[in-house]
Amino acid sequence: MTVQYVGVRHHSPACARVVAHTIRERQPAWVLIEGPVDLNPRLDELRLDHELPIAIYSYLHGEGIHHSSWTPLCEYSPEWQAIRVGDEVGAEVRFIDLPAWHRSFGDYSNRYRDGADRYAEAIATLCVELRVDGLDSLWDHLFERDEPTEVIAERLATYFDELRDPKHPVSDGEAEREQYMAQCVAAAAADGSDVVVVTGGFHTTAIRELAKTAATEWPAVPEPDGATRFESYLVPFGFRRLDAFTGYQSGMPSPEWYQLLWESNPTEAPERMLRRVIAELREANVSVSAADLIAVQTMTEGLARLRGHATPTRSDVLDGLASALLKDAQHVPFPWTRRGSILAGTDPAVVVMAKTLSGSRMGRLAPETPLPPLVADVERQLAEPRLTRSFEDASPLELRLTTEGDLATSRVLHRLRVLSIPGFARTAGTDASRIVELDETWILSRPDGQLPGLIEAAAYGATLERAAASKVAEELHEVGSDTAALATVLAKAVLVGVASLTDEVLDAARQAIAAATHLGELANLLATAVSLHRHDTVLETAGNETLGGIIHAAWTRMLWLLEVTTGATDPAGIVDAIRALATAAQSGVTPPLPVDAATGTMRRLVVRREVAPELHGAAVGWLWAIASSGISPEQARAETATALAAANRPDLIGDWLSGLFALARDQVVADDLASAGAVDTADRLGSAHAGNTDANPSILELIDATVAAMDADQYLVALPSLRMAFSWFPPTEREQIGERILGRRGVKTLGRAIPKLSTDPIGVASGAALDEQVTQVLARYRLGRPTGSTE
Amino acid sequence: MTDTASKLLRPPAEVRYADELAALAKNDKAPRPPGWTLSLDAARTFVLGDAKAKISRKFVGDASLVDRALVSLATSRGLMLIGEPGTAKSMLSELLAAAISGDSTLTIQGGAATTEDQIKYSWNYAMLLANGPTPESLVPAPIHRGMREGKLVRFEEITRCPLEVQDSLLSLLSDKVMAVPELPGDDGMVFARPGFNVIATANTRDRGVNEMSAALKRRLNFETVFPIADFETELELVRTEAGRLLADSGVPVAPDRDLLEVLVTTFRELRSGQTSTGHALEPLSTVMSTAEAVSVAHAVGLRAHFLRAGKADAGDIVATLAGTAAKDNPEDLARIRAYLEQEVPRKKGKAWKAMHDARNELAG
Repeated sequence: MTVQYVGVRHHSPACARVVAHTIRERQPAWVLIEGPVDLNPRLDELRLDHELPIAIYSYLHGEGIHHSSWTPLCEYSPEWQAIRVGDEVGAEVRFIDLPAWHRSFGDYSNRYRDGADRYAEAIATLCVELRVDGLDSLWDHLFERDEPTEVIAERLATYFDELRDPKHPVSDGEAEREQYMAQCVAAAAADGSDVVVVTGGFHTTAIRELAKTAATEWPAVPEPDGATRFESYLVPFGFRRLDAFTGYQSGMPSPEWYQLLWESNPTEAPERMLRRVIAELREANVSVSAADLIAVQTMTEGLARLRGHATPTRSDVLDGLASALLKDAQHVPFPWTRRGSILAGTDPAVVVMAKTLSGSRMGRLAPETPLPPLVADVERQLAEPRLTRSFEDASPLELRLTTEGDLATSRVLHRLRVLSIPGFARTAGTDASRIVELDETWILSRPDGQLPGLIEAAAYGATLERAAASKVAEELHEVGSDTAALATVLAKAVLVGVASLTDEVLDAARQAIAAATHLGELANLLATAVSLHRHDTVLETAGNETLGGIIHAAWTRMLWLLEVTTGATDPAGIVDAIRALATAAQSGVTPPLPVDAATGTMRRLVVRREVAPELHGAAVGWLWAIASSGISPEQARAETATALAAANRPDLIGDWLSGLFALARDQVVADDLASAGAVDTADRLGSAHAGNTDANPSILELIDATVAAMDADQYLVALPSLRMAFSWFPPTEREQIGERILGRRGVKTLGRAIPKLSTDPIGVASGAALDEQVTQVLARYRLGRPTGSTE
Repeated sequence: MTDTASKLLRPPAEVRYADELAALAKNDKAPRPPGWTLSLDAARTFVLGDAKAKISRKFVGDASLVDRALVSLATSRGLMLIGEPGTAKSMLSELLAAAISGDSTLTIQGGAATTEDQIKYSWNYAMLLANGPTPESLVPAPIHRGMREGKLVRFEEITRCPLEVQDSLLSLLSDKVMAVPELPGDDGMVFARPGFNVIATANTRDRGVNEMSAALKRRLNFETVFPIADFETELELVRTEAGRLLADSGVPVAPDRDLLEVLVTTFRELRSGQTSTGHALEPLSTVMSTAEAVSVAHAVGLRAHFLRAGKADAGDIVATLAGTAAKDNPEDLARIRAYLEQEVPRKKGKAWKAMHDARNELAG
């Protein structure tokens, strides 16, 4: 038997040529390829008339697991050429690697990654020796060059033999895969037929060794265990995505460059690529003069010659471009001198260069390729004439959720959006913060990524509704203790109209809420849930039990947090939280919220000395605003007046009032109106009705009196926070309050006519300060009159 | 190294590495660009080293940067090396000049007071008055010599020069000819011989780099020199360089590797604003270059040996950091203090613990 091993680097055109050459020359009976063994019965799908790049997309979906991976194939992939040429010579072509779901792949989502981390040391040594920067330049320098295929093949074999350090153990997963592949090789070669084995070069030596002793029957194809769903489909793939695998997932960079190297003669490729890059640069408004062009050509040629390349390689071209065209200091190294995604701060011209070599080619599947059922389901649901029109002319699609048909359409679109399918953009409508928007605007399109997106989304379910539901459920699992994210997912769940999620949502919400420590975020969640629960007849969430459960959980957790907080760090956020609680308390949630418990918490807050004044004010406000057992409104008002007297300090009063007004704004205004009304009536009737006004002044009157009693310094201290406090009143109310206060002092004027200063306030202030100083000096020497009168 | 060279405080590269240059020239079979003393490949070997040929590695940055620099110099465009201070730009330009022209001394040091005279030529006024303008009374400046002799001219810190002085290079770079209008006849034109070119350096911290005219930028190929990306490489460099400096200063013991590891890590983290554990820091506004690390390591060794007659420890690093790294910037000092208080205790190892314990020695 003769087994010929061809170790390759995935997505290398040089390796593809070696593979094709070897298979043609040896005419083997078997061509064995590193690829998912479970796909062997469906290899014919790969033989359809596809436009490359495509990928085999595989997913494993089950309770709490969602793993997906891609096996990308380009025209110049050695694996693709192995299938093609294998068919051409009439060989039996087979994939021999474990299925994508297998545990041996761990978290990897790109089967054809380089895994350069496995031999980083050897590469580093070689790079220093050959004076190149990094694996990619090294690879080009050694292999992607204009030399006879036999020479390259021999060098490849040596390279991969050297790379694998026998002392360095591979991971268990890798070992398992190598054992499996080796058994396949042994089985194929058992009857003495010729075999060509195409695998990643890293594995070649190991497989060759293992195959000598491996069992000679074909190993069984592993099956995933029953509870999980596993499927593979072909998807159109794109060069952008191929180049977007980063870190340990990454493979060969710059796919468009290698496509060119594959398609055209190697002497032409650099020239053609330079022309494209220059065109792209000019498109991006980078000026490239004829002199620059000459410089680029000279540099590229010069670099190639210095580095001993017959024709310029990828890094020669990129280095030449960068050297001749860039006229500024770079903030970060060039993307082609290191691995990974393009760094922030990369020169825009460099980004254009790198992107042009990366290319944007999109693959296309042959029309008869089998697609997952989800694709058909979505097509059926999108077949509505209005949607078809919108797809065609890209006109905005307006939906009104109160209309029966529109609501259904909106749900379909929201489900697609939840699944992150490209082409469904919503430009206006509801989100977690504005939950009761009734109009939505959508822009529909059919971008390249749509079909791949749908095929990949098929992992979540066979119908759109089911897929969206499991996607939302998955997101819920990932929420953790992030209540802000929970609010977003909650809104999503509502918009996709998933009824079956209830228990799952509630569980996840309870967990997140129990772990939450941030009152502000909890308040958001509570507000979202309350508004959905209370209003949403359109989205059919009004009175929803799950939401009720969430409201109860958040309510309880917030009260608990309030018991221990002092509000020192974020008093405004905590006041907002108390407001959210008040809104919830008044919203008629079913089953009813235990309002008395909250009132108890507020009572304790009122007597705690260390709490921030805002918080204290808000607690007092709560007691006045929220009707509860055992206390009458009059009593609450009287308590407020007492508390106000206690908070009467210039540095506290404003903050304290902010808290009070946040909760009991309505009560404060009503109380003042009642008091003022009594005066008015008394005035008009001349009767004794108003006799009690002075004995029982309104809260605003008390505040007025407090402010009037301040001296100039105290007033300046109190002013900013007082202004803040009164901003809780809308402008009209503020104006009316002003009128009433002035009225009580005998000035009858419209609030808006209250004169504004016409002079520079800073001038006035410094004048007043000077006056004050003079008065004090006079007072010290016991001269003059006690106040600032200057007559 | 010759006897004279060993007596110099710092001999130029062509003297220091005379043996290597001679060996390279002897074995150099590749074609040389006109006017070059070595081929591109040999020049590259000189800079990047070759263990087999016993050529030391002198520049530890990207190999591709050296390639691009050499090819740029072989074309008609000049070379501009730009980067943070202390990234070995001047050293690279010196090595390139030594390799290409065998002479790295045709150097113009740019500064606010640099004039055209210092670039092109001036006169011996006694002779000028006695004999009038003659070739003998002309005092050539580096560019004049570089053009006449076909050599590389180094222009250090070019962006610190006034714009009009920079622009005097324009016609020299494009037409490769310099007019000396005072001299009559053929002497009035100096045509550059092959081998003439300019290596300019500039650092990104100095204002003015953006004020270079577009016309001059067009005549130069820009290459950015980055701080050393690889930790081990930087550590090794600091170790050898600090060891050499200490030996020169009469200190026989080099600092421990553990200690240098702490020093280099500190510099790298304060430079990038990222710790090895992924925390974000406030990067220093002062330059935390490898050169600075070497000078701190040098100072640490000196301090320990001459002040305490002992071995260098983490306390010495802390004590030296304030002066060498923070300079007199109070904000940077606060950042270093925060680093010592918050980041250092998270690191494992004796040297780190010692550094944390010594945190109060930070001056200022």
